Amino acid sequence: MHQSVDEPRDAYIDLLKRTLLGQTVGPTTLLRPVEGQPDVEGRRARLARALAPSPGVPAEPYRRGR
Amino acid sequence: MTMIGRRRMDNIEQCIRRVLDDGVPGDLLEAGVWRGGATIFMRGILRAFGITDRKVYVADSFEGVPAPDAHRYPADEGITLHLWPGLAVSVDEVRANFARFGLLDDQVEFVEGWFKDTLPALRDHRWAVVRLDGDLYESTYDALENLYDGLVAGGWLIVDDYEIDACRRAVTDFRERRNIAEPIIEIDWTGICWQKSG
Repeated sequence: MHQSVDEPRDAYIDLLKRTLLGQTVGPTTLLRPVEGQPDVEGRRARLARALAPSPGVPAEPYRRGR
Repeated sequence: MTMIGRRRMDNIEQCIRRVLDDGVPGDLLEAGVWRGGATIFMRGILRAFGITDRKVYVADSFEGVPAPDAHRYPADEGITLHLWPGLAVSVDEVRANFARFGLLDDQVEFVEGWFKDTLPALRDHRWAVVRLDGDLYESTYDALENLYDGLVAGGWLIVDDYEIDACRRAVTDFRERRNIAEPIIEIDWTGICWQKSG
């Protein structure tokens, strides 16, 4: 596909603008829900206590930000 | 890096694109830069367009907002912005911010000091875009008095703090004294601009 010569310039300006506005993010760690029961003694209870005040979901990292 | 928000950043971009498209000569300046975000953006736009014959002037006390001189500028009475340490960002920190974006070079000029002391030396300079973000009546009026005559026809005058009563009164007084009739364009809830006519 043909790319306009303006596109990289406009993309740079837009990215610079968003960065200066704090609308971009750095490396992030993505989480996924934990399937099944936690297999460590006591972990299930601690998770339940930790999540009790909020509608949280047990999760674990599957891709760490670098 | 900046407090001015998306619409006022868009406005900076639009004004610079207009002066580049229209061939309006002159440099770019912001008076009152805080961490430098708007001026970094100005320099980045020049870089993106491959412009090498214009500079970005970064004018600030780098010590925060001055204490109001209510005797000379009654409109500033009661303003306490000088007590906010967060508004004082050193010139070294602003330079470092430019460097973080790879935009610190000889097309960036730092004008360090109180506007009343530094801006008179820029009276004869030619400007394509002048952006004022000094909050106070005194800061706004000093900048207009020293920079507006150098704004080239077709250039843009931007005011960030029009929502602040003291700033709005400075703009109103200056426009009345100079018989400036160019219509004021609202950018957002506090930003305004107008294009200087021939």
